[in-house]
Amino acid sequence: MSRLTEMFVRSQQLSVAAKEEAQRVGRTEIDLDHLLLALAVVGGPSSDVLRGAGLSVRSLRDAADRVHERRIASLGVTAARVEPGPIPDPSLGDVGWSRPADTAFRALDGLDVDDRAILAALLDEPSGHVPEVLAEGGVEVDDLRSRLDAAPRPHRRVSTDDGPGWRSVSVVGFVEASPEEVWSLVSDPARRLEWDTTSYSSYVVGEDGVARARAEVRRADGSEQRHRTQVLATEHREVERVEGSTVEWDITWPDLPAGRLRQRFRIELEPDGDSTRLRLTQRWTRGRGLRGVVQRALLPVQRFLFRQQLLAKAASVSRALR
Amino acid sequence: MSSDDVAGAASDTTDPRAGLRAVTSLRQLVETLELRQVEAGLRAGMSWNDVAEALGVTRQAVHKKYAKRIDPTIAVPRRNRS
Repeated sequence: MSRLTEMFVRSQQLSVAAKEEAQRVGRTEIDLDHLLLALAVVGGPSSDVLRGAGLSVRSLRDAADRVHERRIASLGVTAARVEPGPIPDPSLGDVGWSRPADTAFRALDGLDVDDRAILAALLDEPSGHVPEVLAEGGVEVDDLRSRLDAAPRPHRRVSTDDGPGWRSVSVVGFVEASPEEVWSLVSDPARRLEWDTTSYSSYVVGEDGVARARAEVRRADGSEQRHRTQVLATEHREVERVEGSTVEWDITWPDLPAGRLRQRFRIELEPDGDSTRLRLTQRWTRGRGLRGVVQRALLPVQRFLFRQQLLAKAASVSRALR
Repeated sequence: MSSDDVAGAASDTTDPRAGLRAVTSLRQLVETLELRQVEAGLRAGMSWNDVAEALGVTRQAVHKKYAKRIDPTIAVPRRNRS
């Protein structure tokens, strides 16, 4: 993955996660709390620093809640805690950024893929909100600053190995849950619709071991999506399975001429402390003849679209388990 | 806490920095509660107009602020949407 792509992916993961954390607690604006939580959610260099200091997504959420409750109480107002709701579909809802959060987010500048610049900006933010949340979580800001300075520069690159006849893209996501929990979600066909953003209306494994899925034609907001009817049905055959860590499916379209379209989708899990690194890979066949020429011209677009799909899937798995 | 105590605490201006931050947290809470109540009202069959009247603002104002923020599964009758 090029540096530019890596930077784009990271900033997109962060803004989606920040929006999700704001919507989860019914907030109408992404604020400093949510950006801090997003750093923990996406599992980048900042999350390593935070986890090194003992701060998880859950403990940071609790700390931020307590800070707000104490402040409101200091005004003499007794307010009930607003219970968090489910995180809505990220394509929905209009959530803006507060000015301080927007400023801190812009610290992720140029081609820098290291999100620690954002964490540093949050620590220095003039209202002092983030240091207060960290202190509530039991971590002093100076301790975190020295951890930030001491952490080595990350070099977690995703290589793309196409292999003969195939093109591929991969993304690496992070889930604050054990590999066992992630495995039981992604390997269970009955739970497929909980996380797979391909939005199938059904996904059922037959007696022959082949999973047959049908694409959902309704979007999350209720409007109808136009599909060619031949591409609605897909068949998913498991081609590799290492219990607890790896699964790959070969995907075909039974209503299209044989061999026209073929894809593979692979999930690999790797423990990272108590949490999980999730690597998703999408492969697709190179076209032959005229189709191949057109496809080659569209390759950058295709890679972009597949990468967006994988990012959405990775974010969805993380959302389902946090 | 009596209303006198509330007034006393809320008007404590000895530490304005802390006071201002506290007011910010309170304002955010109010925004959150307003969104939840608007959603509850629409779910209960209120129109944008009914919600606007209860909030004491114009229908345009309430629609502009919340049309894209509310839970999209809430079915608001189309004639009342705009």
